[in-house]
Amino acid sequence: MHLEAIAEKCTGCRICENFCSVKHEGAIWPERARIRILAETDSGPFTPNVCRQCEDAACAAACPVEAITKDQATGAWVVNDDECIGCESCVEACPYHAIFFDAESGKAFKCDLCGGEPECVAICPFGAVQKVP
Amino acid sequence: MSKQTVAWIDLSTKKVSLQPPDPSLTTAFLGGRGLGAALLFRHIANPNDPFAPENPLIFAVGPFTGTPWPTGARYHVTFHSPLTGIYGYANGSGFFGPALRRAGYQALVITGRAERPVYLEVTPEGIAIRPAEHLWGLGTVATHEALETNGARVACIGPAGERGVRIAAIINDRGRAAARCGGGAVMGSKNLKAIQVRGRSEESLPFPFLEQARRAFAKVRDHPNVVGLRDWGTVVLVKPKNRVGDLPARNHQLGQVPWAERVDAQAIARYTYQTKGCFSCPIRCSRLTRIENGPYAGELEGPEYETTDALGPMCWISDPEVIIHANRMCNDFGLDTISTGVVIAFAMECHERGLLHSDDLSLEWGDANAVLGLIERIARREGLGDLLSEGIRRAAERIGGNAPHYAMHVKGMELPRQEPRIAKGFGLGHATSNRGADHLYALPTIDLAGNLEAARHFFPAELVPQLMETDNEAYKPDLVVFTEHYCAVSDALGICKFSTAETYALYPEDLASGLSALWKREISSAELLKAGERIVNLERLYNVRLGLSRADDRLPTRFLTEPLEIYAFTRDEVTGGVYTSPEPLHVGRLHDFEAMLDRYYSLRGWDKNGIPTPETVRRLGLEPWISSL
Repeated sequence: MHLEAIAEKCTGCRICENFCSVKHEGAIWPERARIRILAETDSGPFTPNVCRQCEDAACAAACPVEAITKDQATGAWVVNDDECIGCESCVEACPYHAIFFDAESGKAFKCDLCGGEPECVAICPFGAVQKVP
Repeated sequence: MSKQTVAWIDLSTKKVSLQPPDPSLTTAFLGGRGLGAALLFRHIANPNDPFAPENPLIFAVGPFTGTPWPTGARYHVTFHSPLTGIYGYANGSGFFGPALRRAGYQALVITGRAERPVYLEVTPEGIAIRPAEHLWGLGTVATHEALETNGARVACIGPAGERGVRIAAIINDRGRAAARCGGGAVMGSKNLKAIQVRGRSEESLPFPFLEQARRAFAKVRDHPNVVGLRDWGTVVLVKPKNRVGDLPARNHQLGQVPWAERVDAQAIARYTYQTKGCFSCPIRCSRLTRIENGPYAGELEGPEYETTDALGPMCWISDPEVIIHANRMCNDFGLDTISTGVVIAFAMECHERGLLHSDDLSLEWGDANAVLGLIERIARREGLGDLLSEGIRRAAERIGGNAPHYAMHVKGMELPRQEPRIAKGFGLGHATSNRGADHLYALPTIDLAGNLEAARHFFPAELVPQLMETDNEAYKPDLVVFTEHYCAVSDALGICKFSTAETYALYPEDLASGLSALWKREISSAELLKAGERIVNLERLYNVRLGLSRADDRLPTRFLTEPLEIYAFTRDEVTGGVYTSPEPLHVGRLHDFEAMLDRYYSLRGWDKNGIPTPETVRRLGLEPWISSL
């Protein structure tokens, strides 16, 4: 499973960023959202940027401690916090800028598909993010 | 310092005792190789019999192993070598060492002999001795399959180690090896099939150390000297070494092959499906290769440069599929690929000279069946393999006649894949190494790699021009003395020399600031290098105690008596034929090996016989260690 963004439907309301961060961090905190809205100007056009959950994931291949592994149930590449050494190799490797670094905890974080029920898909009022099996 | 423990495991009595590390040892010898040397020096019980149950087999990690420090992946195994009969160790990478550190252990000291085959289950809660009869006889791949459960990391031996083959390796994480000196045979003699490590402790590392580690990580990752290793793996060396005559072939009769492009980095890349790195490594020099079909179909982590030359050009094998398959067989049997390739090349030359003959194998140069057949016979100790499984020195003695002249070894250990008549620093390093011929004991690459920046940083300006001339022997001893210290520090800290003495992406200053942050006290780079010197000297004293001296710091006679002609090869673009230049470009020879040795000893503060003087021993604080001498 992975997420697909339909840019034409995105209005740039960023409600997905808010709900994503609440789901993962317990607070409205767009800097910690796993989904990010890219805006060419303040008034658009907008593109939701999501992790593609690549078949051949560059982040996992770049990880020097094998901390990014595929969750077989959801198909999501997941960062194991206990293993992550915070080297940011994955952040450099990802061609889509879809994995991030938290300087406070010293760990990388990324979209984990919310265990199979992505919050962004559930909340987007315009269906701009969709689940692809 | 950390809360790691040292586990003393007696397989005879099945007693395990956990003790805190000795801080005086850690201060003087850092960890890893230094700690192993100190523990072996103190606890060796029977140096006359390397397989005596009371002798220790020591697995140790360094202070950087298992931390985010770049390349902090290595573990060290120290033992009395059954191959050389002297001080021995092997060093391995991958993920096993970090798992051991994160389970809370600084070292495992294993003594005794189990009545029946066993394996060790190592967790943060303790160490259990488990029956391994069901694993005995299995190859290393099958052993990993059986024990790699719930994220466990495994180091084990194969059939070669079980049978006491003196060139047997310890294999970990499926495709990595702590290969040299015959540690696999020592493990086998203890009836210890494998070590399984699981779990992690909640060790919190100081924040300033993590900062330093992140900085060092980026430095190594972005350093220009690691690019070739990352893009092509160590086989990137094949082509340039072939050009200068440093690609030993036909048991060092030649320093080049006219068909290097068949086994070079591009050839191996055709089989590569993924690159791989060890724990916390930004270099990622390892290749995963796959042969899709044919007689050699299968997968492998490898081959790297040393293996490629030992099982390839040395035996005149030009088919990369044979090299990959031979590498895989060695790994599964648990054999040292360098020693195996060199001992097979030796057998082939003995056959060429009419000294050796086999009923069922041709022993002709380049015969794949002979190479693959011998690997299996060595591992199983069958027929001719039984002779070769004793290592090259014993085999040459038994064959007799002129055979010792063709035996490429120092102190009984098979020579790694450099050509001493071309790579002069490596030649000296092979000879002086305290574990026998070893490219990683000194790793003097500065001149060969043209690393002027490092040369200027570490040596007085007036030495640099001659030091950088590869054929000039004048200051090679200076180079070797320095790099031996730097390599000892790398091994003791538990990191890879590809970040230090190979590429100089990190200088001793970087390591010193990292260790200072980790141990929360100021350690200078000079102190660090002095610890390296202390380790080298303690290792030397171990061998001096056994009666070794200058007479053992010897290169094989071939390098001292036969010149090596180096040619240029031109490829005809139309016909594809390769033409050899009519005249040699260069003739490689050792000009004055004794002079190199003299200077090396005097720089070290050793006497003419290669024995540390009392002043040297005192300067390094090693007096308490020599009361036993």
